[in-house]
Amino acid sequence: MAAASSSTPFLGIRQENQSQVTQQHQSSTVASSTATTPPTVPQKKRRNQPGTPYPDAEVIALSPKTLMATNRFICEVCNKGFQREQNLQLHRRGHNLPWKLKQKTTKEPKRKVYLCPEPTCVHHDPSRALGDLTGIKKHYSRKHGEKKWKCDKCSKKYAVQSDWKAHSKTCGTREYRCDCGTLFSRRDSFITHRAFCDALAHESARHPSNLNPLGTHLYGTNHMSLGLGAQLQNQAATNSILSLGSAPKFEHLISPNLHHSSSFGVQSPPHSSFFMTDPNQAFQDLQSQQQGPLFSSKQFHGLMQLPDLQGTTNNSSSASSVSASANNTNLFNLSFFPNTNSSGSIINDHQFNNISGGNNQGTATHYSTNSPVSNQVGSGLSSLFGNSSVQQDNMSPHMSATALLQKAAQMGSTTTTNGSSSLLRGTEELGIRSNMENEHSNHLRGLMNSLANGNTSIFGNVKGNENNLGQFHNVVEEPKKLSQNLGVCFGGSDKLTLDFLGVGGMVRNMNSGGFSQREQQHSMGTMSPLDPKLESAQANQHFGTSTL
Amino acid sequence: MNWERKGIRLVHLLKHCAKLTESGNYFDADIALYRLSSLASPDGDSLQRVATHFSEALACCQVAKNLRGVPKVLRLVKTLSTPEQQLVKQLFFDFYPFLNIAYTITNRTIIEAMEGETTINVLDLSPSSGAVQWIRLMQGLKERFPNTPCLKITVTAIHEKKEVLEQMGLHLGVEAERLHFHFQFNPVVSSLESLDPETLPIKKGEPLAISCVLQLHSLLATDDDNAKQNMKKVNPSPDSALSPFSPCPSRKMDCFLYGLWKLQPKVMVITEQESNVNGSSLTQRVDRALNFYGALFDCLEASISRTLVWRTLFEKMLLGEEIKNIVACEGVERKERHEKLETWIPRLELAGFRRVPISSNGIWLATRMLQNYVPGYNIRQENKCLFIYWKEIPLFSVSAWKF
Repeated sequence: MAAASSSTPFLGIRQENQSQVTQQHQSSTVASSTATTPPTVPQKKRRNQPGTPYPDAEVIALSPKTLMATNRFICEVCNKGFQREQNLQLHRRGHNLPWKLKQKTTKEPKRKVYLCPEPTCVHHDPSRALGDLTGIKKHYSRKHGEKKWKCDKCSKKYAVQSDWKAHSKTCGTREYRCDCGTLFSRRDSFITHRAFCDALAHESARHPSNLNPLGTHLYGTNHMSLGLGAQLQNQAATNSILSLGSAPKFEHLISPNLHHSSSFGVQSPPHSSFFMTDPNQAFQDLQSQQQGPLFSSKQFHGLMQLPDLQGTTNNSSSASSVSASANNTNLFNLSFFPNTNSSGSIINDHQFNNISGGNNQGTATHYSTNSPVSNQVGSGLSSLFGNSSVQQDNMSPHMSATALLQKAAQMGSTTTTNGSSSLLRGTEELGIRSNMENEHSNHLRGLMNSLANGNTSIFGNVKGNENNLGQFHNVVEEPKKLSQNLGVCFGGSDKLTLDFLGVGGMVRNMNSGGFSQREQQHSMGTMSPLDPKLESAQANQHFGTSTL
Repeated sequence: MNWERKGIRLVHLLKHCAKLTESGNYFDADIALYRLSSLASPDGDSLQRVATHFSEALACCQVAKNLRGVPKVLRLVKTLSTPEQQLVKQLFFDFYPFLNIAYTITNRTIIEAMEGETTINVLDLSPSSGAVQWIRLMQGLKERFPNTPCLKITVTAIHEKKEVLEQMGLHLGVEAERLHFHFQFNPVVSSLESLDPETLPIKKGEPLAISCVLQLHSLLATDDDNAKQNMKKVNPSPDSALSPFSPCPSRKMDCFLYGLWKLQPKVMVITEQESNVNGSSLTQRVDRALNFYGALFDCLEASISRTLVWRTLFEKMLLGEEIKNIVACEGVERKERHEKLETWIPRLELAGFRRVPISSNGIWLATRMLQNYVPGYNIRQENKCLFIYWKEIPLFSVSAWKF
């Protein structure tokens, strides 16, 4: 880089010499001859440069001492130091020394841009010079200076007093609390924790025991209280149904079955033999209790009412009862819990034997073939499944899977890298967005307030922390997409440009507060080459913190 | 509101997990599964249930991509025995109207096509639901043609398991005797893939009706890797469902259809799932299958109580297994290769079939039948074919063809 050295005559830059005292009437900047920010220097290709607003500005390189000097204007009489020349002049009046207030030169003021004296710094290069004296001072302190200011609450150190002041205003005022009760002051550790927090996991739908059908209601909200009433009555009923599921009982059932002949609804007694023993009791209880809507239909009684089957089919050869029973026992005519395949086939064989022996009537109507019968079955089934009651018990239709799938497809955040990283690492971010949208949680409001104040410390935070870097990167990489997503989330409020970190908005809006545009670009520029490594580093880091 | 957000997050997480699994990023996919395990639940609402099964399928997929022995052992445990399969198929028949409608329409179409015939041959390529369909057909025939003496009916059924066929034969025999038909049953123990239609014991020259309900797509199962290489020579169709005009990938299907065509059926009725999950891209398959099975789970949610144990069992043993097949299996193992009717039509036309309209009587009956079920199902006739919808989502299609 040709421009790096100050001795390059081409640029006409002259470095301020160490002794600053010589000229009082001059500012500490050295007026140079026709210095121009070189348009011909090949750094034009660098990205993140919004152009050079003042291409013919005077480039000034100051020494570190000059930059850091606080009182540059010294009274020759009493050696009192002043920050500003005007102040010194006014002071000289007191010594009866000749004084003259330097007027602001009319005419077009020559724009000055400043270079950072640190040679390794990006801003050491004239094409990346900063436009503000205060800015370059702060930059130099922050980047290359010693951090003398320390926050008393959190031990964070700052080189610039204004940064420190700004930070201590918000330090500790915003806290994150996980649902498990842990407090966090930092967003990144909060998010990492929440990704693997088990308390969070317990909160969701998974409920403990399968045998407790009421467990489904744990997941529910107020809607479920409607169904609870009905369900409570059926609990005993459903428990007895569910007791079907317990293998030991079944084994003891199926073995007698092996010797029974057909399990179709034919007249021979042992057909519905599956439930000849204990569970029949349960079923009888079931029937006596079944006031619940689930079992209101007579047709459906055929399904569960097997003891009845035993009673009636001995006598009747009526097609209807047989068909009713037949319709529904076909559910049970297979060894449902296949202890062995052979048991299944043994049953089949026995069935065949029996059937071939006669009982055409019974098997003929096995499958409710005629349309009126099928209507019966159909209606039986629909009332079996209990339309109205079901809708009470289950959730209301707008929660259907198809509706949610369509909505999710519309939101479409899976396709952006932004969305994908936030899904895994910060699934909470989506959650927090939802909080913003619906509940306006305090801490986010606080964040937005502090953003409005042009708080730079958050930005500083982000830079300092590797985890945040990744998130920041994601934000920066596709700020537009993020704001689009946010548009969806926020319902199009004018806070579109602010994301949850506030960084996107800050990047765009933050011109004050000592952050020049170029500095922002600078930081963004440095981050991009780190990205690929960041992804994997993040993942590892993330997992590392997961060993809670 | 929070619920909705959770649901949406669940969906995004699922799709994201699929993407990660497909790209080989198993580490992050594992994290996604971890998160999914707390969001999904087999006892929750329909989205959570369908998400559980999809998560399981993605987990199996991840295992299958990395290990060989583990997935085989897991599959060993999970394979359903024949009675279990029969049970879940029966539940499918009971819980949904789809099979009912399919059978009704098939039968009506066959009856109308066999007007005036005295001997009827039926080829059943999908007898798993037992003999219901043909018993109804016989009854329908009897109603429609009460005066035809000695109607002769021969049913040929193809199934892999002998027991199923035996059961079916017996039921049918009984019914036929009751209705005074001459009845002959030809069971053929074979899988569809290894079946050569020419070897079937069907008399040429006699009117033949073919029915295939939700089975035809299994013939599309093919060794995808080889197929992909061959596809490169042909223009890849955007749908990634292999274009029927590319010879190699669906050769099995084309040969089979052509074989069927050579039997010169008077009518052939095909019922298939109306969804395209025959892609090679995992994310695409998951996406589309989510929509399809989401709708199926919604139907259950709307009609059956969550606590009914049969429902959970059915979801696990039939729907869950289908989902696992779609997501986690590859190549010849992946049998659930549903395709939309619009891709079936060229295939069938290529084999020589021509479309015939569906029996309007059947449609009328089916519409009436739907009144017995939860509101939300509808039937629509489009393009001479019938589609069964659940709330604007097409789920199944029925189409009729002839030689």
